[in-house]
Amino acid sequence: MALPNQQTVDYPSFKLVIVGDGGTGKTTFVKRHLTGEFEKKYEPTIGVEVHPLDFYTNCGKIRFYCWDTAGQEKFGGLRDGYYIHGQCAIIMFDVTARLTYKNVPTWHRDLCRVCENIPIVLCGNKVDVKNRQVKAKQVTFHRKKNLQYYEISAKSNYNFEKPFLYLARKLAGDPSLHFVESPALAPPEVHIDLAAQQQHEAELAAAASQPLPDDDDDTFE
Amino acid sequence: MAATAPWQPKEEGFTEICRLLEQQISHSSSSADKSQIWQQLQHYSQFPDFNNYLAFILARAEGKSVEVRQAAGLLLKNNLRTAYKSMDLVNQQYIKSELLPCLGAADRHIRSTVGTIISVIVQLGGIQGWPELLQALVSCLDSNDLNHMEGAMDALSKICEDIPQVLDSDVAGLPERPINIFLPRFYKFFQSPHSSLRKLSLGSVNQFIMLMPNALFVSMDQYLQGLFVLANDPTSEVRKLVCGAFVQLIEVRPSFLQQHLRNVIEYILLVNKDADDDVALEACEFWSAYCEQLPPENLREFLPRLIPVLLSNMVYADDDESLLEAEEDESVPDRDQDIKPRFHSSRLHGSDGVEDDDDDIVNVWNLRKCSAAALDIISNVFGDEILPTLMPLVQAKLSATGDEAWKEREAAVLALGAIAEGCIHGLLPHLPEIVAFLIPLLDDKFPLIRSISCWTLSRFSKFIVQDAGHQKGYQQFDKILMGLLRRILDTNKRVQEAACSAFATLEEEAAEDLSPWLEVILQHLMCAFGKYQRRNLRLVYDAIGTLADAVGEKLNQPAYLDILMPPLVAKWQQLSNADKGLFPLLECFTSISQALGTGFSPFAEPVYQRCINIIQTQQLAKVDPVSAGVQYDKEFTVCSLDLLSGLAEGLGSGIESLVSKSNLTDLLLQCCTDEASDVRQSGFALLGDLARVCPVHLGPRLSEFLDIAARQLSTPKLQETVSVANNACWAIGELAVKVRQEISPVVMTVISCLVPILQHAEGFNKSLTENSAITLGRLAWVCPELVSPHMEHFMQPWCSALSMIRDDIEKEDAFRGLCAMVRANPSGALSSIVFLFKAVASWHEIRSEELNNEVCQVVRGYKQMLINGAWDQCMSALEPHAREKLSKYLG
Repeated sequence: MALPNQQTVDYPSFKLVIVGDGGTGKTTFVKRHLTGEFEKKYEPTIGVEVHPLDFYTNCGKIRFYCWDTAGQEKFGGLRDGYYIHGQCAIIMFDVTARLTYKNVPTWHRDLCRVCENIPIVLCGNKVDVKNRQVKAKQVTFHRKKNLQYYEISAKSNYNFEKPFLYLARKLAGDPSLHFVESPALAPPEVHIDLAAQQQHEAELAAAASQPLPDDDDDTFE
Repeated sequence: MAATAPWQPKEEGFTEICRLLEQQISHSSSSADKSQIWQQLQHYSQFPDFNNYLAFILARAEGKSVEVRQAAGLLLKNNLRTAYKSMDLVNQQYIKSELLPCLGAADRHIRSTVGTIISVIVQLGGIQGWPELLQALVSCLDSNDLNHMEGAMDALSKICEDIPQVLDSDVAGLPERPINIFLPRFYKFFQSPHSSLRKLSLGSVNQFIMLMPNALFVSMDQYLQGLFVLANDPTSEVRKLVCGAFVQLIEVRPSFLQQHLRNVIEYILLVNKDADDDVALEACEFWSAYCEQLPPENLREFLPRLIPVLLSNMVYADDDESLLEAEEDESVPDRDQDIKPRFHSSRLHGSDGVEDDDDDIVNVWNLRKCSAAALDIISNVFGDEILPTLMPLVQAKLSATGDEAWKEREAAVLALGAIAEGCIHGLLPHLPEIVAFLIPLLDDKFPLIRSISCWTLSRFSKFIVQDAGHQKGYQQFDKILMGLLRRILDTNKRVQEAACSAFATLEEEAAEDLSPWLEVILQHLMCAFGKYQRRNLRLVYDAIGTLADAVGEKLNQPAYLDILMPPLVAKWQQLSNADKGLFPLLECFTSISQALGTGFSPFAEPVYQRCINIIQTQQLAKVDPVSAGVQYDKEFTVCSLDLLSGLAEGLGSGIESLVSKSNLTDLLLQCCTDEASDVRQSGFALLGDLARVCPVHLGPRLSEFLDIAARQLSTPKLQETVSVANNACWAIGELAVKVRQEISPVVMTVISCLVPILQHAEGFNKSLTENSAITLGRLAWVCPELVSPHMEHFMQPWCSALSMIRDDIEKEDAFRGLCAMVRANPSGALSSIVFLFKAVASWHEIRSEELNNEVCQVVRGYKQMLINGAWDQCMSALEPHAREKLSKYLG
């Protein structure tokens, strides 16, 4: 399964693909795992960025190569080309932007067509924002497709480890695997460049008000 | 057309594109490199034949790695999405001709990539646009070569998933719809020895259940027979698809299953026990769908077999996350990532409750959850009749001994909680025994048994409280309460959580009945307050707040306050004005001050002063965080405003001395003009509360307050700030009844905003409509000479809104306005007289004697006015019930 150059460390490593609409917080999320940097500005990801994130389990150290893919169409690069040899995945949506949840089935479909039968976590990000548009009860996609679902806040670090822990357990085939020490995380509540975020939110809102071609409301039963 | 030489790649371009693709998908290159490489690829993509290269690499680059070929194919697909329709026909043709031979490629990744691209091309160009495709697919399917069959099936399954309707439409030049050609072949593959073909073909047909093309409709028997044949397939994914088909059929076309129902139910029963949990879970979804779609009778005879299956599936699976989480000890501090962000909801004056049900637990979905949900639904459909089957099983599981059987016992307790609603009539006579059984389990050695016992007991709260009136019930209540309190002090975090949540349910149900236990409750809660970690600490705050709301002034006893207040005050002093830990504390004090009333006086001054300081600091932080020394966070302002409202409500006019010594009026005016809607919302709530208890202090700024309050009602974006408008509207009414004539400058402005709201009541929430009706009435009461000339414009919607409001003081005010207007302009109501009568008849009882007399005069006055049968005509337009109510006012 290994790609050329994949085994760059002497402990188990896995390719983790992170997908979802632009602005849902994929980059912010992976960068909470501290390798020193934290983007204050919202800069759309171009193509893909690969971040190696290490975790310490009771069975030893593991590494996720997180392929943080571009959510925005115009910066997509190879898009699903980056999923090749993905061993696990996170699909991210933004609970404050309904459209990003409506697009989850498409991300899921594209992912499954390249990577069959890999463990997938669905993450509803930005639960730190007061007026959410997608309520917990409305999130039902994971039930139909057997995905794990977590609500997260990349801003407050809420549930940061949960998706990684779930994937690690599935990949190791060991439900009792656990992390023995927490990775260093960026402190919560770092203030994001508000102007950029607001502009982005305005764009999302504008997009959300567009009629959807496949407005299947059964995802919001 | 002149024959042109077929397209050929140039070696250099081919090599370069392959190299770039390889680097793009290798994870050794840095992000900066990736972006640079992508730029280069972008450069090549300017060439009109770039996509031809990609197709060539996918189809023919035998010497290159599969990954590179796959990447080329996926990039091709993405390019086609945007460029296909504007592409040169020759290039389109080239790409299509390269793809078809790859349907049967030896490598399955190549085949699958080709299938993905084909589906996209069909989406863009339709079936007509690619006549060779159908022929190629058919010959692959009929080839008997596994690779070819699989490749074609792969492409078809994607088309069926993406655009099933395309296969069920007429295609020029084809004698029949494509689905008619493929469906028989799909059925044939149901019996293929290759599991991949069974899986793909079944998955493809399932995609059409929703659409139900004629071809499927007429072959339904064959499809169902096929499903039954696949029912015991050795491949679990196939069995899962069979279950999925039955679930979907029952959801969309239950009538098709009618004839085969017994067989289907038998089958689902069987696979509900499948060794593969995914299959069992898919099967389990059937029961809820069944209960929603079909009459329950046919399920009845299966219950004795179904219930044991559900029960055994409710046992925790080995990989359930709860199992590990339950091991966490209370001494481990919570981390930031354990704390779910929570929000304070601004005060709202009105009848719409804030729904706040974002519990994580609703999102966990597994066999255990699904089975418990199914049992819950079945208990609601069949009620007590499931008990003879269920209870012996529950009893047997509960008495299973030994540590290894703890999960069985746990599942039995869960089952009791699941049926608590549906089977309550049958369970009620046995409730004492059930409770007696559950109470020892609160002290079980296994934490998850302790926590589930808390939950199950709380499901019976209503009945436990009802029974508490007689002696036995009282003792039972005492035991449960004490048991839950013990668990609140559990050493396990999950148990603490479950106990707090169960206790909150009991608190809400019992309300004042908790009073005799207040001391012991407070002792336990404050002990938990001292020892809990951050996450659960919020639950204690909630429990204290709920307790204060529930028992009200009963809490106002020195003995209780001695237990309750010192730890809270100590915490209060320990937290800085910038600590978010203050939020729940401010909320908690809001509930306590409302409950204690004047009893809160000893604590009022420092609390009041701190709220003022916080608001002041935040106002400064908004413009100058450096000199304020804190980051601006409007939540502090909102919580402080709400606590001040709580103080005003609790202390009444006792707050006056505090207000007079401070600059609250100025600060409040700023808050009411804040750009954040939740700050304004809480600001107007406080304005209304202050108007009630000390209007004199608002006096100097009255016209400014009235102006900005009126402005909240006339915004074009009313729908987005409806809660602000709601509170502003209420505050205007509260001010009106206090300042009387001083309100007159804004009366007509406000009325002209309220009338459209009443006229479009269906577009707004209930609370805003009610408040608008009340405020309009109050203004009319204070200034009838201004309002009554316009009655004809609003009487009808206004009276309709008034009839929806239940008896209370505010409604009395509104009717005083109604009577005053009728006195001033009796003919103004004539055109809406039936609505006026309906509004009068909506009173259960007018408590105020003086108002009652006024209303009598109004009704009698109209009876005299309405001559020549007009009165009788009005009466006949009323419901008999309303007529009878109205006759009371005729004396």
